[in-house]
Amino acid sequence: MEKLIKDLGNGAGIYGIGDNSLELRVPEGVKLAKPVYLTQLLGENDSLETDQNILIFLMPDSEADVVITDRTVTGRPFRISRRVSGEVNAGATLRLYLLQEQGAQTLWHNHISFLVFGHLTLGAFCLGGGDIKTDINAFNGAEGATADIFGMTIASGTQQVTNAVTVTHRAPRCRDRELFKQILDGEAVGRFEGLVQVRPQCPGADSVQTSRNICLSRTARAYAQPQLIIDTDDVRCSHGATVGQLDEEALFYMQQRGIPRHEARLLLLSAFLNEVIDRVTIDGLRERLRVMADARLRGDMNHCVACGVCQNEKKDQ
Amino acid sequence: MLRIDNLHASIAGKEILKGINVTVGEGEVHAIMGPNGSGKSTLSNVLVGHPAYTVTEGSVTFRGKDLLALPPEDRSHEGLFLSFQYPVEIPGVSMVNFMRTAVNEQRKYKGLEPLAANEFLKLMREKRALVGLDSKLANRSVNEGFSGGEKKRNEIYQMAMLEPTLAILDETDSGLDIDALRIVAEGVNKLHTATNSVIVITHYQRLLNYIKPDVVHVLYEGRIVRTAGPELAQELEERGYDWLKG
Repeated sequence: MEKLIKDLGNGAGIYGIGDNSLELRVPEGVKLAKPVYLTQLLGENDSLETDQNILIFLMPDSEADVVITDRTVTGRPFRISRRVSGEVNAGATLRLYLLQEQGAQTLWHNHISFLVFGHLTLGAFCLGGGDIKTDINAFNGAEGATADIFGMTIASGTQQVTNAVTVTHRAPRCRDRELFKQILDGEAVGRFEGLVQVRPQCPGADSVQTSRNICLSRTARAYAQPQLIIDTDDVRCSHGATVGQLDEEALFYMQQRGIPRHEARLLLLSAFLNEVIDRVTIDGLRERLRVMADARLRGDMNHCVACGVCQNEKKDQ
Repeated sequence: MLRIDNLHASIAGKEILKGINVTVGEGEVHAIMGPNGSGKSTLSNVLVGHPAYTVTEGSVTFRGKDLLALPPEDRSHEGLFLSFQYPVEIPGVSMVNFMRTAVNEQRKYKGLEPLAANEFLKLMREKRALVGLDSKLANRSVNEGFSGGEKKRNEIYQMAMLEPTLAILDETDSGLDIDALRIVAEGVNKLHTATNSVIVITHYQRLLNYIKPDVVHVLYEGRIVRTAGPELAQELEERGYDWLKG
């Protein structure tokens, strides 16, 4: 039932379990030197409906960076349910990045669930098409556990994208931060539903939820729904949400300097997203995200910048 | 270089400029003075094409072209620059990125290749030294966290980078102390040549001690009521604006 797919050294490895699950195990004290990239490309001949599981177990004092990238060819109506779950044990650090670059007809549901005794950083980047629902559940299970969850969504057309993040403090003096930014165009609907729960006898909880949204069209809709359920006194929990358009004065200032309006808009939109992209600790990934976000904002998601096949295809069009 | 003919402009339905006539020649420094509400900022905003203002009558010719027919970015590419009275902060957009985009757009308009990264950085350093802008400010987001004086100096820095043919300084002296004023004026004077021109819009005569005008106009209630040489500025300083109402 279990098969070692990739040996990462020092006892760490990626295992295949059954025919739809992957498990990453990092033993106690082992720190992976390089990020683990799990990339899925669903193409012309792949099954349209699958359930997928990725399990990540970080033993005490271990460390790993994991990047999960999903791309699908456009035009095929994939219906995918993906679970990513696991444990970040005491003293361990997991930095997990989800790059969602699905094609337009996709319906995708991410269920992310982690029990955190150490430190979790989670970045959810929704740059593709399709309707994407991402449910993130983080449980801070030991004193001093931290969950730093951020994300960005660029959606257009008739896309519906939802990020529902729930963080539960089950131990004292835990910390959580949520920062989600959305740029919505066309008739897209983007939702941020943030729930922070602090259970009884969890003093010293430190929580900040932030939802920032830009609507580029009159018909785009952004919904920000922060919630707090606090059952302990002596906590510091706050949340803030803004929905707006681009700053017209800033746009005009740039135009007066000779920057055409559409370029000025792109500069402002990139600046808006940078606060989230800057949180990514893997240099190459951060730069790739900037390039991809720029391409997406310019309406071109289907061609990778560094790929000869894509660039040639682009020239032919 | 610039010819404004019978310019009428309004904002939110209210007429502010009521028939402005001004001609600025190559290499000239013109001062436009006037009390608050006379239309000084309206004039500068209309020239650079701010969308809040509507031109209801008249024309503006800049280097032989119909200025009012051009979008704001093309007016800039043709050589028009405005030093804003209240420069806006643009968090997240770095000065480097901003200036590189502006410089390369101007080069594109003129049919030139964009500057290579190292050439651009060299240009930035050169111009920074020319106007005395602190290098740490050049590495920040546009105007973010800048003091009033630093913002004004940053306007002159951008002017040095873009090398305009006609620079409009809109109340550049407001909010500046004498030292900051002198530094800004020095920058403007260094950039002024026989082939470019400057319009200094100011309420007070003080700045004109440092940037010496060839011609002084007085704007009052949307009209130019007096045009004379530099001595007019001194006369306004001594007598105020009231004596012009008659």
